[in-house]
Amino acid sequence: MRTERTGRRWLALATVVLGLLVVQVAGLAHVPIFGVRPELLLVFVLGVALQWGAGPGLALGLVTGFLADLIGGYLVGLSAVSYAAAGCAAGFIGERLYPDRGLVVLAIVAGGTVVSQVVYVAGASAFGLPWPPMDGLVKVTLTLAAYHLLLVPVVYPICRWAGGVFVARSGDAGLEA
Amino acid sequence: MRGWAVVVVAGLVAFLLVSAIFLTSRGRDGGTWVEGAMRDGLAPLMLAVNRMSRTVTGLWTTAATLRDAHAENERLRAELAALREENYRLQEYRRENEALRAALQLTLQSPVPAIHAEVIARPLNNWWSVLTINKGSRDGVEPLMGVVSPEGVVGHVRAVNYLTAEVILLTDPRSAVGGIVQRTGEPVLVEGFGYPGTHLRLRPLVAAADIQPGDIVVTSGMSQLFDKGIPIGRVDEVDVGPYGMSVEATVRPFVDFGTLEFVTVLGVRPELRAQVEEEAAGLAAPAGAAGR
Repeated sequence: MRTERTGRRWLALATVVLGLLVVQVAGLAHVPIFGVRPELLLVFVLGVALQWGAGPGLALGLVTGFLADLIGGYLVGLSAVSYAAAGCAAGFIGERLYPDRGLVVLAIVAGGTVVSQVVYVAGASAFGLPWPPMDGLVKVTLTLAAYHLLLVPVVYPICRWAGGVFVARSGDAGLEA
Repeated sequence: MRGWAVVVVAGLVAFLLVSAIFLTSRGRDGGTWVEGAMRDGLAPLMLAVNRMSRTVTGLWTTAATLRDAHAENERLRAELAALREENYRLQEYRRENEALRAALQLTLQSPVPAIHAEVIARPLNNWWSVLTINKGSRDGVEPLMGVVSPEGVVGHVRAVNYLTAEVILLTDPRSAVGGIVQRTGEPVLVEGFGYPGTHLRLRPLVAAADIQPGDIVVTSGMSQLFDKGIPIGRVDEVDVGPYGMSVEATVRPFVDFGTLEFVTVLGVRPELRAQVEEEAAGLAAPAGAAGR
């Protein structure tokens, strides 16, 4: 019975991730700010990582980043690395700070966005993408961070719900032990 | 013991990720079946979300621009009248051109088969300039087909799935197209620049090229992707190197890639396809003969 419930939760989580992915590439693509489009999945990963720590942040970053890469079709795995790095960093800080303070959430989302972009661009340049001009890199990263801050009030409640899936899982593990 | 297991798993994951990045960093005509299934599977959902989002943003834009509608209407009427006049003139030139080609016994090319498609998704991050369109191999789209819009060159098809295809825009760092400067006829190479994705880089293919700001660049027709004369963009800035030995320019494309909604994929002309097939058969025949 418990296994069935947990399975349903994981299925719901997968549906949410795919839904966010579709909204990111097809919906929010029409709403750029200064030409910059948001990465909804990254905000989701950062939000979940902030509540549930570095391990889940790293795992969720790897899985969602890899799913996103499968749609992108180029440098498959690089988004997974960049999301995992950002998720791990956010989770590490979240474990040491009170993660439900609004300011902490905003700071982590902004910082995580910067980390993920730098990791992605560095990785891409290692595999052949020319390093973008410094002013372009700064402009994109800062605009993206600002855009993500605007999305936090919408995405963070979803992250809190998704965090429940991890709680249920650790609870089950505890009971089984 | 558990620590070692974690290290081994982490190492394995890292190895698999680096391998995947390396293998997909080279040019690929398509993807794995997993990628294809995922893209095609999500295509109807992406199309629906895309149309919904476009409707909402369209309403917003309409409301915002309604107050300027009258002035814009007047401007567009004037522009339409001028374009009509130019169209009559161009039709006359076309008739004249066809008559002259017939007199010179030059073969007339058949029109390029066109596949009209809708943009259903944008890239996942801000570092690539790619689009996903709602036409794939089912509709006859093939890798390396040229893609245009009424404003000019958009890019070319990179990967094709059954229901969808991925188009690399001209602004992508992996993109380049042969062009000519319309004023002088000098051949140039127009390349993607990467971010900010609003400009292209122009490199002349002849020494001491005469390139001026405001020059219009069109396709050269040297590649098999595009016909000659499709607009690419207008020269924005010209950068002359030390001692005037090299010239490089930035070009502002005519196509607004950020708001692109519909595109046309240029198919392969029947005569070109026949020629390619003939060449392939010619290459295969000696090999087959040798085998016998």
